[in-house]
Amino acid sequence: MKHRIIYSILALFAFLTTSAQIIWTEEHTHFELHFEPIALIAVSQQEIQLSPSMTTTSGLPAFTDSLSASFHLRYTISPVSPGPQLVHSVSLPIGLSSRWSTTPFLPTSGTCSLAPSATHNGTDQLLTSNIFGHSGTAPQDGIPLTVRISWSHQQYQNLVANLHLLNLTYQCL
Amino acid sequence: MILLIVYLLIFNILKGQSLAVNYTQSLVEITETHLHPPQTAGADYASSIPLNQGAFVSVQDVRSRATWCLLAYGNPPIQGSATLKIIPDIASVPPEVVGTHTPSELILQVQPQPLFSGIGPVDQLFLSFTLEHAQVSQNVNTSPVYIQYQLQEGGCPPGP
Repeated sequence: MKHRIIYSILALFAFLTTSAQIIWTEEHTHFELHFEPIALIAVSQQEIQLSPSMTTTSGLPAFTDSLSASFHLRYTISPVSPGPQLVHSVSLPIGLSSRWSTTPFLPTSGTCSLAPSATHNGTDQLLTSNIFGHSGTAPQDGIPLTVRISWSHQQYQNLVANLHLLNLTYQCL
Repeated sequence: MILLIVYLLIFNILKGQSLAVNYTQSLVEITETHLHPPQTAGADYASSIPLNQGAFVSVQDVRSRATWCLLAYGNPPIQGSATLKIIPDIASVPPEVVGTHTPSELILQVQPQPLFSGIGPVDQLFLSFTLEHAQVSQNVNTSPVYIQYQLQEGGCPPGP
C-alpha cells in the first residue's frame, strides 16, 4: 500500500514536470508612454539674398521687388482644438515693410491645411482660417510663399549685408 | 517517509524563485523629433523608434544549473497599430548564464513569447525597447504599457 502511494506521487510528479512547463513566477510591470501633443509649433528660418541680385530691368537697385521662397513647414500635429487656425508671422530686417502671401495647398494626408490664399499687409502676422481637421500634413516640398518687400533708397543703402534672415513662424492654434 | 518525499517534490517545484524587473524610466516621451524626417510637416513617426527606456532583469533563488525561460507578453496591446519590440542584451550578463534558444528580440503580443533563456541566477540582464509602427493619427496622449514577465522552468523552445 505504501509503495503504491509513493509510485502514485512519483507518477503525478513525472506527469506534471513533463507534460507542461512550470511557471515559477510572474512579474506585472508597466510604464507610461507619452505622445507629446504635436501642436504645430514650427519655425522656419531661411536666408534670402536681398541684394545685389535684386535689380530692375533698368539695372538699378529695386525699391520694390519680390522674393519667392518655398518654406518647408516643420510642423507636427496631433489633436488640436476644433476650428484650428494657422498663424503666420514674419519678421524682417528693421525698417523694411512687407507684403507677403501664401497660396492654398492641399495636404497629402491629414487635414491641417491652409485655405484659401492669404495676404499679409503690413503687420507682422497673418491669420488664416479654414484649417480643417485635427491633424495633417503639408506638402513635403513646403508651402509656396511669396514675400514682397519694399524699402526706400536710404534703407537699401543701409543694408549692411547681402544676406538677411527672414524668419517665419507657423503655429497651429 | 512519504511525507518527506512529498515535501521534497513540492518544495522543488514551488520554492521561491524570484523575478524582478526594474525600468530605467517610468515615463517615455515621443516627440516631434521622432518623426521621419524629424520635425517635418506631413511626416509620420519613424517606423522604428528606439525608446529612451531600459530594464534590468534579475532572476534569483534558482539552482545554479537550473535552466529557465523568461517570457513576456503585453495586455492590453498598445493603442493603434503600434507594437513594442524588446531586445535582450546578451552581452549584459556572463555568457555561462545564457541558455540555448535565446531569441534576439521579441515583438510584444498578448500571448507569452520567449525572451531570454537562462541558466542559474542572473543579475542585471538589460533589456532595450523599440516602438514600431506608431502613427501620428493613432497614437496620442499618455497610455500605460503593460508588460507581464513570466519565468518558466526549463529553457526556451527553439524559435521558428
